[in-house]
Amino acid sequence: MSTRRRLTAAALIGVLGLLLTSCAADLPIPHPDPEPAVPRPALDVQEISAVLRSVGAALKAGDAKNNPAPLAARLSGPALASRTAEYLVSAKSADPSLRTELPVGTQTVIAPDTNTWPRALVVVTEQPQNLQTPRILTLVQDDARSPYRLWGWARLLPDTRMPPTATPAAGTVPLAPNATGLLVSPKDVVTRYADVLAKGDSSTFAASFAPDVFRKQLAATLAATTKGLVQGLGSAAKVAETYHPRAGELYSFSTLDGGALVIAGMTTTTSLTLSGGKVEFQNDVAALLGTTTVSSSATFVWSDVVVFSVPPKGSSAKIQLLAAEHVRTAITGK
Amino acid sequence: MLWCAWTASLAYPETSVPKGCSVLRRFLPAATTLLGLLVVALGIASATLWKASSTVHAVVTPTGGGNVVITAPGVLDLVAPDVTIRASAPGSRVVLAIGRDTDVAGWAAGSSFVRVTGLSSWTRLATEAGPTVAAGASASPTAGAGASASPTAGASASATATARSQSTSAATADPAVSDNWLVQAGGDNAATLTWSNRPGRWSVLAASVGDEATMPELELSWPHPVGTPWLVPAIALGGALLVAGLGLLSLQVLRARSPQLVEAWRTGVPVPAGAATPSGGVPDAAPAHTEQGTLTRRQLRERERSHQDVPVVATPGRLARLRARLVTSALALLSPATQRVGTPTPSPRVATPTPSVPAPGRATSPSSQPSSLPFPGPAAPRPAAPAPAPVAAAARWGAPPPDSQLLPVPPAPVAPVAGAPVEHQSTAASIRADAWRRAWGFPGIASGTDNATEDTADQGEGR
Repeated sequence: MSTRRRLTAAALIGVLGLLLTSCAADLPIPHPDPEPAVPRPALDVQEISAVLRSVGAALKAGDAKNNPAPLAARLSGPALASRTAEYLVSAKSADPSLRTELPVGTQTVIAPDTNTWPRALVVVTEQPQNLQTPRILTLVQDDARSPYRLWGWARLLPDTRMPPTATPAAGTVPLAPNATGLLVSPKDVVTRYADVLAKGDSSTFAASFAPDVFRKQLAATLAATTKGLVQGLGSAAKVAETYHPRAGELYSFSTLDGGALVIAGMTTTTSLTLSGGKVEFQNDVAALLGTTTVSSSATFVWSDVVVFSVPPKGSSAKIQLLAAEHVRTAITGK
Repeated sequence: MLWCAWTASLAYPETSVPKGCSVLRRFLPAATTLLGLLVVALGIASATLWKASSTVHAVVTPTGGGNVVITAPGVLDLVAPDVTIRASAPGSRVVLAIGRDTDVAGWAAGSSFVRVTGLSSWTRLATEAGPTVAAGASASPTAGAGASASPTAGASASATATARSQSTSAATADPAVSDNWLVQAGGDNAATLTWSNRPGRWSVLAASVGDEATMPELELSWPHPVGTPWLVPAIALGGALLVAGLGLLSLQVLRARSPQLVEAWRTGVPVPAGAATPSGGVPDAAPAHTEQGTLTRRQLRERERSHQDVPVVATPGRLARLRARLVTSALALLSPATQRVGTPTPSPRVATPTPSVPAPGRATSPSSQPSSLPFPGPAAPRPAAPAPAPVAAAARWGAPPPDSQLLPVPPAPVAPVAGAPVEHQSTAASIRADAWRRAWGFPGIASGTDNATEDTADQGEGR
């Protein structure tokens, strides 16, 4: 009988145990969405707006007193250098129009599809109030803990058209500097363009670039400077200009037509050598130089940002310079 | 059989079963009722007392030198799409931020951190140490932030350098300045954030910021819809057991009080009203209404008025047959009354006077078998003997104590008077209704008082 009672007790406990354990479900385990084959855009539209607002606020704070200090949090690279130089000039001449107007309202946004750093975000702004052409802003996040900083801006050249790019919701895949499938790889585009700038139509690469206003203006300015100096000083003055793509400052994105949008930083150096005589400089140059006259040499450093539209491989189209900026950031001389 | 043994062990915890189910059957109704109550109670308790909380709070209190806790993708919507996140680190500023898993991992890779991988229990979060994650995260060019040296002007270079030196100093890095977060919250000592899941892989980053920053405690709370899967089945099963047990119990009590009624139910044959009347004061009413055993008293009375003169002796209806089957099988479960009480069966005595049972002028159905009815005849001694044992059993199980006045003194044998029912038509209804009450153990109230009841009963006997 005791076995029977034990059996009964066991049955009772079993029933109770079943009732109790059934109340507690199994622990859930995480089921995240699968990792997408192509990374999702690093920023959504709201985040991009927030970034642009921050950049706009930094610019506004700097512009207010021509003070570059507030810029450091949100500007870097050529943008910071150019703006700092512009502050020097505009502070000296008390002329705000010497600063490039940089709107942060957007027409087009190119959000990068990436999981890695650095990341670049490209924005085509609305037209500035001074009715100049819209700017192409490039914002770069160096690493996971850095904010997006305005790396550079460039003015859209007249009679150019942006290549079609994906919506910011879909995002645009960044391209490596040596990406294939293009008429010319992004890295080579800039070096070849520098060659074209230096050599003009005699460059072997001149044929692959469509004519553009920027190149024409650079050549015209150089010619005018040379002509003026030669008129005044004769053979005592020599002027030379070099163009160098800056290492690591290259951002490329695929476009919907299979081509690429290539943004690069470039340094233009204008060297003036005097074997006799003096050269007197005007306000803005004097502000950067720190003095008004030089008697032996002067070096002008320009920070350039150039934006190209590169056609896909096999295309008969030419590489088109879409936008460019050319800001004098430093002058040395004695 | 197993059931029987089980109830037996319930009823006789200290004795063995061999006495058999016949003995143990007397406890079957009570045991079934109790079991039904137990099952219902368990079901209700599963839906109330033992019901899981409708919110899941899971906490982790990491230890170690770091100041960052992150979650793996999929943890935020582990239990429900909506989650409330709380991080606390007394004495320092706390920042909570939600971003893409790669952004969060990338940010955290600059510090030593703890990663939450899921639940280790319903109240604790499972974690893993950071370095295992850092190995994967370092694939992204995060660590080499300082390497991307851009030749910028002096001012910018120094500014960037300070920014980067800050970001490499883990304890002072503030995630709040990052552009990568979809939502973020900050506060002294603690911060709270709510998040609704959306497509994608999302993680939360909790960091305490400050020179003395310690690992923040992270708590995730989800609303958790809790079902009560056992409530309905348990109540259904328990209810069925309860009904069955109560039914058996009633039958047991009823058989003790009014064997004629039970027998009539069992055979499915309506007993002529007059037949039972002379048998004594107790159970004389119902046989006339075997087909309407479930009627209310009021219906009974009304029906009585309209059918006073017409004795109901028809063949059993469908309902009656069903009831007969039910009662028969139920009686099979109960121990036989004779065996149980150990008194001589009344039937042998009944058998002889039976022929005299039919009242004058009453028709008896040919299908009826009066000889098998255990009714005492008018001249037979009242079946007072069977009462004690079942009544005692019923009392033990909480049934209302029997009305002592219902245990009658043997009535004086009075010869039935022809035509008497006609004279007492007005009282017959109340008598029968009263008999029902007494059968169920209620005090008779039809005529106002117990005395009155007794009087009318006497009158009925006197007929």
